[in-house]
Amino acid sequence: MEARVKNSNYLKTQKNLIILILGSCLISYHVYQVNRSIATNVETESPSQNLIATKAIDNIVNEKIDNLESNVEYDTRTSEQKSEIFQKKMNDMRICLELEKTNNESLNPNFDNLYRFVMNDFGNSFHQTSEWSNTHLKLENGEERRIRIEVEATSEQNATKKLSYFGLDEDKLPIRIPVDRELETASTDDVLKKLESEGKITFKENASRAYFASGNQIYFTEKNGTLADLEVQNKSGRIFKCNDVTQSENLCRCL
Amino acid sequence: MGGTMNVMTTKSLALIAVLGGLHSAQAAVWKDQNQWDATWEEKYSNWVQSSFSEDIFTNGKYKGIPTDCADAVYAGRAIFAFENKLPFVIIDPTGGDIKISNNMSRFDGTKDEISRLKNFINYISDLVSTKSLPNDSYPVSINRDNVRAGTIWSRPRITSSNFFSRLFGGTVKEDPGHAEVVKNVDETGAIYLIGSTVPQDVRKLITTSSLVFMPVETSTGLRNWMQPDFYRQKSEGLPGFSLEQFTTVGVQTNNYQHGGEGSYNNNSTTRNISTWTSDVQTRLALRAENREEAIRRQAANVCTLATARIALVRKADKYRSQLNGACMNAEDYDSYSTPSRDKRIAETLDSMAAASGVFGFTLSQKVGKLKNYLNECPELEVADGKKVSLADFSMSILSSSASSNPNDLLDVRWGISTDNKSTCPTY
Repeated sequence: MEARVKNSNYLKTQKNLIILILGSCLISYHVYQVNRSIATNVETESPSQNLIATKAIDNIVNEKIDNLESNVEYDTRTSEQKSEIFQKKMNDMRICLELEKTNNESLNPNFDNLYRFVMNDFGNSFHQTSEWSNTHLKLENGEERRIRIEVEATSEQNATKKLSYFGLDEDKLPIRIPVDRELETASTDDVLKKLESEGKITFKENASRAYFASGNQIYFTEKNGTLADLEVQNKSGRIFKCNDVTQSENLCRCL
Repeated sequence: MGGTMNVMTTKSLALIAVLGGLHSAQAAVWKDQNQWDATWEEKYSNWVQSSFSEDIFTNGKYKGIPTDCADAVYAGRAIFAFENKLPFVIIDPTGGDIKISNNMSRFDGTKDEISRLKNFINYISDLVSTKSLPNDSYPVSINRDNVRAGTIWSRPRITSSNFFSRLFGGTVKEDPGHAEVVKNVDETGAIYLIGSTVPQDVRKLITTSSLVFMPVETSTGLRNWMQPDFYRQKSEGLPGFSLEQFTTVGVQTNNYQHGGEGSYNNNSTTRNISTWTSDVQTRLALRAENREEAIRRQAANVCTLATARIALVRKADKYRSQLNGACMNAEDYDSYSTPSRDKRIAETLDSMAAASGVFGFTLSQKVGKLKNYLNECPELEVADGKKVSLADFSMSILSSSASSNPNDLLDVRWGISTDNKSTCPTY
């Protein structure tokens, strides 16, 4: 706990430092822009245009800061802490959905362990389908690739699993790399395995759904094998919904 | 300590990247001059009502943008953001941390701003789907402040399953999701939706007022757009956020009373598409919709759906002719057949009959009594010089004599003839 506080303070200091440096750079950049406009008398001819230009730069910088913050996640939670949080949320789920009490302790947050909490009530017959998945790869030459598999509509009445392959542009945004049409819809698991073997997996997330013979349903997402979001619905329509089940903040709702 | 060094190195590198990228970051699809707020949302709503018209992608400066249902929803928001120099920001569906926005530089080489916007919209369309919409929107409470022109109506998927499919898995089937934009909420609380469909194509949008499904999962339903700042906020704090449409909206209490000695009251609740639609309309209504209005609204829906079917069946017939008697393969069959559309027409006829309260043993009998309303729709010109009345076509749909099979002749598709049905395989 103490380590987490220290780390948090350290990160705050880091953030302040970054804001300070960014602020200085922004001022310098603004001065540069004003000088440039004076020198050339173009682009920023009026104060309002100048203000708009500055505002636009502010927006871009803010956007970059936002992206920085969301880009770099510092997950200081230990697996024991995650397990403990998961356990607490599963108890909330039990109360919400009026499930039988089970003796599950120190469980890793994954679907198999979520299933342990509901199996007595939901039954042990279920069918699991994949909704979508994203896999990020780093190739040997350092380039990054992304693979998305999604059930896509092919017509008003049919949908099929489709694989999309992406590189990243200079903004780090996905840019489609065409794959043979046959590969797009062929056995996506085989194609995925082949593509995965071409680099090191750096990130993996997926969404799945489990249909129980009893009529209950579970929708869940996993990030790098750890359960993230879930929506568990019992047959009477009651819903237990959580965003990030390993987050200490309570992002769960009983509907 | 090693960990914190890594943190520092990463942050420093990222900082350099930000500063290094400052100059080039000025390029964008368009530059923001305004920021989203309640006033701009109001303007967006007004714009959808007045300018997000059925021909927006087939006429005028945005002509030529291909859409499917989700694409049209995103494209509308992007066009309004572009026209008003507002940010357009969405989550990257491929799992990246960087949000996709109008600040991206990839299209800098395209000098014409409309072409650049179209390239951007095509890029967005390539990535988004009904499955990405829940990340870029949030569910709202059902009232006229939140559900209005511009609101999204979406379901990421429909899954058809029954006891055996759930048990054995073999036939659990995921059908396509759907998304549309609320075009108008009239004073009777009826919601008019405008949207595209699959497969992606340059097409006229269609407007209907049938909601078709009841939202069950919280990723579905009536939803408003996330503004850029909203992604950092808790959903509870977002304007109008509510999960009521998944729980309390549409719940009808049935009170069973048993009289006499040992009398009892038994309360149970029902929630289905019918009770849900009715409750939504009541919550949005400024006044009740009378019987005539309800019948006419549903008849207009049937008219819109049947009219939109014309172009699709004509296209299918042209392709069928080119095959010189050969059968369509599964993929073509899938593209040119119309079972979902035809089912929706039948369901809308059912809604019309229900709204009218007319008596009949079968749906055909009931609809037969409402022919006058259906014939307010202009005759359907199914081929050059060949016209069918909506009432006749409706009866053909209900008697299954109108075919959804693209291998059938055009007359068979419209129920004008039932002879010479195709013997090709169906899929």
